[in-house]
Amino acid sequence: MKMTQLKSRSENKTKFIATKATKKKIKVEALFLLPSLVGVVIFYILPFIVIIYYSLVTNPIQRDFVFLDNYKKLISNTAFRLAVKNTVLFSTKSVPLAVFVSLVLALLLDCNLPWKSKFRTFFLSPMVVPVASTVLIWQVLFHSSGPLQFFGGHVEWLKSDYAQLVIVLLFLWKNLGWNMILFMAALSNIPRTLIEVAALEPAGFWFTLTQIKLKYISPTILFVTLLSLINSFKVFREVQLLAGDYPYESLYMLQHFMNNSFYSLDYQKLATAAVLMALAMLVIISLLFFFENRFGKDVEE
Amino acid sequence: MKKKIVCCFTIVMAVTLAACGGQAPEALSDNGNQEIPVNLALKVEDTEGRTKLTLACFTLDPLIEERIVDFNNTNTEYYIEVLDYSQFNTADDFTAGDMKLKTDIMGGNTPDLIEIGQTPIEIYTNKGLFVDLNEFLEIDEQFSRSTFVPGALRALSSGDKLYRLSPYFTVVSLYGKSSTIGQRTSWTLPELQNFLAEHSSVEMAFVNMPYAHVLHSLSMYTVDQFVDGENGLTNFKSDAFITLLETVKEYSRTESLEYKEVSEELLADRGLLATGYIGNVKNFASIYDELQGDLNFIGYPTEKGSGNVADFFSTFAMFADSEHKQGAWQFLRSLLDEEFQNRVAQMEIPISLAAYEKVVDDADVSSEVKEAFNLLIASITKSSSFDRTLMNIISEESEDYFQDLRTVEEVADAIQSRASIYIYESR
Repeated sequence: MKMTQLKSRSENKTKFIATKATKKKIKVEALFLLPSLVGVVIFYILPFIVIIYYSLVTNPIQRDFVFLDNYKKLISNTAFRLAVKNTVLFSTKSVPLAVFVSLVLALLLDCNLPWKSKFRTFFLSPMVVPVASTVLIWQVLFHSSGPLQFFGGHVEWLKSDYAQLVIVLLFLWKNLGWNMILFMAALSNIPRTLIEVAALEPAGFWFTLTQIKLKYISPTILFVTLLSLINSFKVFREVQLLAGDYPYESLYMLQHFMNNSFYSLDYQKLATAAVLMALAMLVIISLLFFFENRFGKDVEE
Repeated sequence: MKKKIVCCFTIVMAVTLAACGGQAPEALSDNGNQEIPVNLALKVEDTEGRTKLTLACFTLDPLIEERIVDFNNTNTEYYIEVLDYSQFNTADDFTAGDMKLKTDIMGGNTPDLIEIGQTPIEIYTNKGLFVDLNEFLEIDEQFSRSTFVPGALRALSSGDKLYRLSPYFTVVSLYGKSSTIGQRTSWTLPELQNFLAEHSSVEMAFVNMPYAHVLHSLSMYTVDQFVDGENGLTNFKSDAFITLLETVKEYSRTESLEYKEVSEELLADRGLLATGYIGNVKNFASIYDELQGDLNFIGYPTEKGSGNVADFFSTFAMFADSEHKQGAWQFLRSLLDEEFQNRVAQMEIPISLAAYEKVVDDADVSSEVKEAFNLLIASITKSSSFDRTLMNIISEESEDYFQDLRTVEEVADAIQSRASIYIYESR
């Protein structure tokens, strides 16, 4: 009896010491996390709450609560609809292309090609070129009297129906290198034994590619897709430098709409568009995670 | 140890927050060397016991600066601090000041008053940012709507609202010889085009006006014919706009022009039309005399009203969320003050009817000149409003047409495409 009591007391003491140590550890961790948490709250969460508030009132000065009126007005606004259409069109063209082409390039460079490192440097070089220089090169290249006139005649590329194609090319040129490096890193992490076993079996090229390589790099595919999607929204910077705040119709993106709304003091419009864009991004990212979980699950397991 | 970490962290956060929070409201008054003269004229001890009014601006006319100094020296309840947003502009970014102003408005750090110059007022009024000054005029003991020169009041008003006030104005118009233009008092764009075609043998359709000036003037003052802001429609692909571009190209010159004496060119029938900037009755009399009375200020082409346009260079408005509206009104009404208006009348056309009538009556000019000048002022229905975005789109695109790089239809298409987005956005 005495022994049992002693044992129980000893266990309780150990538990108490463990709980005390855990609590202390949590407190220290919380203290270290606090600066980041404060930063996130001040610079992300609070501004987003303010933006949601602005989207529900007439304007920052009158502040009359109008509930969803701003959303209704925004959805019926022709400029907003055009911006959404162009952004969706641009993203649906450029993101799959950026992922697919960079994946193909990474797979090619994963083989034992000659000049491998030179190719890698070649595709990475656009990353070190400043945006202003990139835009200048593109302006010269696609000017109606630029070098392309010998192929297509005097075409005002950025003011024609080809305008978005020019921007898709610019986007690919700028982003392929980085995507490719990410894919190459993922490919190099696939266990070599698996590839060697597949070669000995012998598994065909397609089987190795789809059942081993693509499955193993599926988290990277998701990451690259997300990165490309975010970058596709950021293409506004290049478009604005190339074609100004009010470009030709097919180049008018969501960020043009928001930027111009800010300049014209349409804060409720800007806030409403930002909230809708955040929601759309949330849906897209959730879908991507869903697909990644569904198809890449067996690799993780 | 834990206490020390928490303490250090608290201090760092407090300093950071204080630095972030402290910059915005006081940046303008704490900028040392960049302090502007109007504010320097105000001593700290003079501001004690008085309420501060803030006036945002990018530029201030010396006459207005004087008025502010007078106001600060005489008003016992309020004083004005000028917030010069142009000081935030840099060589790399000349819109930084504008950006700062808009960020301040968005952040609720709104000034009490603003000098908006020729910026389209709709940018502010569409969002309910400005006060309708009629509210103050209705209850003011000294001033009312009848205080103003009627044409100028029409031009300042937005429908039945009066969101801005200006102490003086200039008339901008197209003029020529009455014997050539005829007795008509206004014309439409097709009528101008017919007139130019009928007189195509004349060497210079627009005297001292290079093509950029002609394009700017014609498009700026006729833009309401191609833009229906209310319904969000643009009509730059129309035959009328295409003809406007063709007219500008045909009747103006792309090469640099040697300055010509306008009256000589008009009298000798070597020129048809010129731009007139009438800042006072003496300017008008001088042109009238030079053309020996054979003068017609016909104005810019317009579908309705008159093409004689009022230019208000110093235009003031009061923000709707100002906490000191009475004080802001005290400053605005000081711009209508008799003594100040009489001083203004020596250089510009005063907004006050009494000062205007006095300066015209006292002018050493003939009764015919006075009558013609009064007719010109009475004809005013609209003000010039410089929509920089729209004007930039038109001039950027049409440049290619004037340089023979694109056809007029291609240019009109591009303008339509870009301008329509701009108009859609504002709805």
